[in-house]
Amino acid sequence: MTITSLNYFIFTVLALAVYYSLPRRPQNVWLLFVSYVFIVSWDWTFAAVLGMVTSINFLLALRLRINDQGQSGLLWLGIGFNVLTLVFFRAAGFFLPELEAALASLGLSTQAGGLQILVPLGLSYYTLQTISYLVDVYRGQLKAESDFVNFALYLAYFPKLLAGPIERARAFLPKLSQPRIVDNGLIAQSVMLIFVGLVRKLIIADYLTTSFLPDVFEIPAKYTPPELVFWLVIYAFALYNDFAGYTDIVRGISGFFGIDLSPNFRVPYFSRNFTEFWKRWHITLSEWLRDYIYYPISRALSRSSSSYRSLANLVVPPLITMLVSGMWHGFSLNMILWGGLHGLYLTVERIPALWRPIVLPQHQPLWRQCLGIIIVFSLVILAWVPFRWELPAALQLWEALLNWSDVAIRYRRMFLVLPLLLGSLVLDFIQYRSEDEFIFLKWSPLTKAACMVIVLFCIFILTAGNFEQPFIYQTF
Amino acid sequence: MKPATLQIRTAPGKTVWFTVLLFILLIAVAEWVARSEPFQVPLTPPRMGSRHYQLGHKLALLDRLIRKTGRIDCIMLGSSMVDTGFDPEAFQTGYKKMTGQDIHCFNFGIDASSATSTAALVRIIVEDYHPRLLIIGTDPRDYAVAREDRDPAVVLKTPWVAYRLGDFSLDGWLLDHSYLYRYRQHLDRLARFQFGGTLWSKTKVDNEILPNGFTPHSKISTYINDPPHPGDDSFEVTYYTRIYSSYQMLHENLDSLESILDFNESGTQIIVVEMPVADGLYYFFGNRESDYNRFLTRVGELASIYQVPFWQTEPLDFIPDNGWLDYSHLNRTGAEIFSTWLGQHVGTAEYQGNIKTSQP
Repeated sequence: MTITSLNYFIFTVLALAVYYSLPRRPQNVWLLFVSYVFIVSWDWTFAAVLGMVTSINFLLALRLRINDQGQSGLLWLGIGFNVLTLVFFRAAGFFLPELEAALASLGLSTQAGGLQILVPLGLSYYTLQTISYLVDVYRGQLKAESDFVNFALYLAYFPKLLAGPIERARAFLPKLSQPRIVDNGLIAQSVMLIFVGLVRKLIIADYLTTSFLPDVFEIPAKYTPPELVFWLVIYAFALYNDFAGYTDIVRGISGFFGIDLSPNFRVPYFSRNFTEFWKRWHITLSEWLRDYIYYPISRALSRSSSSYRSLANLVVPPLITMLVSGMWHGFSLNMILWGGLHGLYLTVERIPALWRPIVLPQHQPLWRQCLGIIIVFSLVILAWVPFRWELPAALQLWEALLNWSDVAIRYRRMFLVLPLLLGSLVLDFIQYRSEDEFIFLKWSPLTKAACMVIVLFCIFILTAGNFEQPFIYQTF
Repeated sequence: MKPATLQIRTAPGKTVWFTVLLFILLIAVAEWVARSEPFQVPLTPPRMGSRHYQLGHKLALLDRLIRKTGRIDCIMLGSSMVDTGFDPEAFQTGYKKMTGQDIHCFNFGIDASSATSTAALVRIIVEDYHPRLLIIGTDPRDYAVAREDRDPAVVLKTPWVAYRLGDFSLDGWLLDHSYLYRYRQHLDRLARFQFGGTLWSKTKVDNEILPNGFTPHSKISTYINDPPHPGDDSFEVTYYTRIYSSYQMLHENLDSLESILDFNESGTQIIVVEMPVADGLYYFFGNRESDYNRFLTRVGELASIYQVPFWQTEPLDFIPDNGWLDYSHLNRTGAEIFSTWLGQHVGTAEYQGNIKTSQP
């Protein structure tokens, strides 16, 4: 049941119909029930894993503070359990073939590929939520949740289960204890978010993804550098619109339940430096990494150094943080390389801070801001290469990008996707300029109606041929 | 009392009304465009949700033919044997020779159809087009293939066909009522600049279906009177061996034939014709000619119960050796001979009053 399917729409409408007729407390029970129904619709084992993770973390958190003192042993036990659970499922693909071979050598043969473990739905996302919850409780920043239903719902809430946003318990749990009001304003905002999300996902991202020439990144030597750059730009926008579209849709759906979910993107490709980029790209993950990886390392280094602006403090925290980010996306060399590259970008960007004060981008002259946008975007798309392709293919592609002996553009058909790229930029520019993601609500009723009708018609046409692509971030 | 979660205070605003009105307007205009000739002519026919490449194609050609001629008098249905073996033009010539009258015919044979899927199409075609004459080309295979087998299932599970047979689905309803919906897949592909299979000018067609539904083939096969080679694992040989080596006529297919024959009472004259087969085909049957004769006898019995003519071609042996595409399909030459004979036979039967069709 993908979130752009008719089944998901019907499922949500039915869930809402019952939800609106219930008082608050049964509403949470109902939401928990439908969230587990949603998970079971994929695979019942996913629900079993989530149930186990939920129960263990709930019980651990209740014992994490005794007499106002955090129990560090229990905290590490909890973190270890969550990390190992994630590692076990994510690494299963690596060790199962070995295990099958070992069993076969002992005469206990299984069918080829008979041992299969699916990565539970949303595991990467709710693992981060459980860790931050335990740490917050340990630090005394959050009281352990005594209501099992609320805690289970925090992890299982179906609109955010597949691919976030990664909500903090500190912000999310209080919402579950308060009465929720869904009024005209919230409905308008939710509808707008869903429409923008559908435009990003079904019209822009899926169209761009299906427009790739089949071998463009498999045989990069066949193409000239300008052509490769062009398709990398297309990939960058496809990826962004896919994930941003997903987030907008689930935030819109959650709005109908009166539960606000955090934004994940704020026009990231208009970032003027990498620090800004990570405040605009996958915001809930970036903030999680900042609070639970970057700051602790930085604080530890500060304690052992005379100055906060020491070389070690400028280099080590961003590098480790981004390497962890890479590993969270996948246990593979290419993802580690992707994370390492971003760590490197952030480090290089901070080095000048050793000898001069940092000037915020908004205080720089316009030409510097524009140049910053171009540099950041160029380096970001270079880093998307190992994000998308295995290491050998990524190296080949980089190599092909360096060979500028032929600059011809032979595949003119590729320019036919430019209107979609332009559409994405226009959408971003409108939101960027106004600094208001709900800016479209301020348009005249006729303009809003015309836009919605055009969007509906485009979706009606562009979903006919089964060109729909799975959400990219759902696989992490 | 605690406040309710849903608190909508006013009636739907201007945006909602504008959206609804504009949407209705846009859909109406788009539907009008999709129904227009200039829109349809450059495009390949829509598939009606079917994986069968010929079904939507033949429906669209039939519609176009009716738009052009103003009427359709006779339609021949059946499997690929009809598709390649019934030449409406030759039929019309043969018919005219005997009656002096013009008749407009269409070939609605589609690949791999069985008695069950043909019966489904007969029901829809009689309902939609009311032809005065419906000719069913039949062969032993029609009764050996189960409705769940891939080939008939492709037709029967087509959303539009299933809807027309009473199995409601939104998809089927929309396909039946909206040309915009039928052409939606084409528009999607065109928007992605995928022209092959969408625009006639960009679509590669090996054996083009003519506007009257006939798919002529020029190839001549010479092996058709010989038994297959023992080691021959070609599709044709393995397929015929599978369905004919222990030949069974399934009840569901015989019931379907009866449902077709029943239409004879509804104002449409039904004629059942045995499609010619080459002598070599008998080698595939476990009991050779006796299996084949069992098929002829059973179909003949059912036809006589419903007082429907069943015309056999096997004793006539009028297809020359250069008239075959393979063991059971006629090529262009064979099709012309068979269709002319059929046209003359229909004309004669009509003249003699043996069949009840009103004159065109």
